[in-house]
Amino acid sequence: MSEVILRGRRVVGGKAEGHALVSKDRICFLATIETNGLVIEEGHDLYGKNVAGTILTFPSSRGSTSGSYRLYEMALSGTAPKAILNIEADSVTVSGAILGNIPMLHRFDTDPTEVIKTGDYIVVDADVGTVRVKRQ
Amino acid sequence: MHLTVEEERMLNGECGEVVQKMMGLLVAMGEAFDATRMIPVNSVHVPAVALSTLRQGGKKLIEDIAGSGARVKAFTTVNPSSTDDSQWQELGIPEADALEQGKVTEAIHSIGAVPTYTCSPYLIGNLPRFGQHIAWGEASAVVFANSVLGARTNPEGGPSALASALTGRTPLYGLHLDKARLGEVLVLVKAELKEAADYGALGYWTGYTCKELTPVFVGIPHQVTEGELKMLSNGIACICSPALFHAVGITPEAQSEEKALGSQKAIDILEFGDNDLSETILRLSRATTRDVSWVAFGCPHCSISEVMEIAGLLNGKRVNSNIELWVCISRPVKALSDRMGCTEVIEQAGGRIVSETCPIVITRETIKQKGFQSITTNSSALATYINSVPGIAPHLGRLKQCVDAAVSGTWR
Repeated sequence: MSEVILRGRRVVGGKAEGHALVSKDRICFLATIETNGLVIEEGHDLYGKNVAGTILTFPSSRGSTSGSYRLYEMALSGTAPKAILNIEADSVTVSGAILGNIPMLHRFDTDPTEVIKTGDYIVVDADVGTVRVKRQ
Repeated sequence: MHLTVEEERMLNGECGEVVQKMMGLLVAMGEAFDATRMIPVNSVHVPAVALSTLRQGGKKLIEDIAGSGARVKAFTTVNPSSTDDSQWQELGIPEADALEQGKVTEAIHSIGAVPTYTCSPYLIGNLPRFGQHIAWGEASAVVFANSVLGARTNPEGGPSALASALTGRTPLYGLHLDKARLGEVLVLVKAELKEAADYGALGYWTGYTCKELTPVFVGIPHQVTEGELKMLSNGIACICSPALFHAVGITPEAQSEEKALGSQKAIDILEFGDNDLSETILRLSRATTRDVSWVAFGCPHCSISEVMEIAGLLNGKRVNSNIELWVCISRPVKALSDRMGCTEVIEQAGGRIVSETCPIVITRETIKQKGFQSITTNSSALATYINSVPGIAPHLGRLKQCVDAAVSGTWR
């Protein structure tokens, strides 16, 4: 078991742990993901995966500004990611995460979409800005 | 983050619980992005007021705000809804959806927002000036406002736009600052751009290719129309994250290539040729059936000049009786269309003027009931977003190609 620690900037405080789901592609919460957490956008590198309960790691969002409510609704339905890690956050994801109380970090010391691999066990403490990456 | 006395009062709850929550959201956002302070805004455009995009969470938020008696502090317009209340039955919108949307609409009116229900608010009275700080949602309008008008906004989601409407503030970061507004990639436009559909495809290709980098177009012809720039903005917005482009000699922050790039050199130089144009349109035109069932224009909502062009093409023609043809616009543009006889021409041809909504924001139940397998459009953005609706795929083409398909019933 190895452990790496990343440090990032707090967007929404809180603690969470779970398995990582990592994307190199940007996410449009309106077009990429269904409310049940399923990624439905063909050609997206997470196509067919489900983001519910994951530590969702991706560069940033794109496209529709309706995305905030999709994320909020996922939080209300229990299908949201447990935490969100971005390279650089944007206001659409951020306002959804604030309403949905989803711990969120961005602006890390290293690129989280490079260091973290899908399936890694992640412990997020968004209050102090640390992400512990545990790997077998 | 520095807050003024008045902003502190809002954050402390002295202006009510809703204002407190909204100010809290803006402060949290500002802190995440290293904003040093708030900036006053007096032009807000709220996205996601349609039932289909609000869902239960957003609906509750808007109704809670209205229930608290809070009123907007900034001039505020709103995006399209999930219904056209003058003809919801004719459009096949389920009664339950029309009623639910009606409740949201009432809440929006009660907080003092202007009931524009359009994604092109700059056509009907929300027209920020060069350099003005604003807080807008609706990705296509955000790109248009930043790029064509030279106003300054980050792409705001529904909650943060509402927060700015109710507080009259937005955190000062991102596209509000000079340093984030410089161009990064040169896009040399070699393709011959004939009409709005081509500009939409250029936008999509650029967003897809440049990703997070801000493009500077070189070679956009001087006579480019507002409708074409609207479609270019929309094409970029549906795929890309920077909410800004420059076009040398056309947009206000790009009087020259040097002005658009600032002191930096372009990170990359790309060429958009005739092949890129035709390949982009082909790639987005994903429907496998040639059967045409639903033709839609007005993504973003048409200006009166676009309505006139469509009426001109439909004049004396007859839309195939199995096909619905929608021209989506705002109500003030509809009033002009009525007076000019365009509405009559379009209706006589078997088409329909649809106000205040569009195929993207009507509810899925509406689309499902219609049983359409394809949608035929000149808009890259509509062709992109419709893919999230199961069972329906787009034909994308130029305006005349779409009108011909509406008449013949077959996509060619």
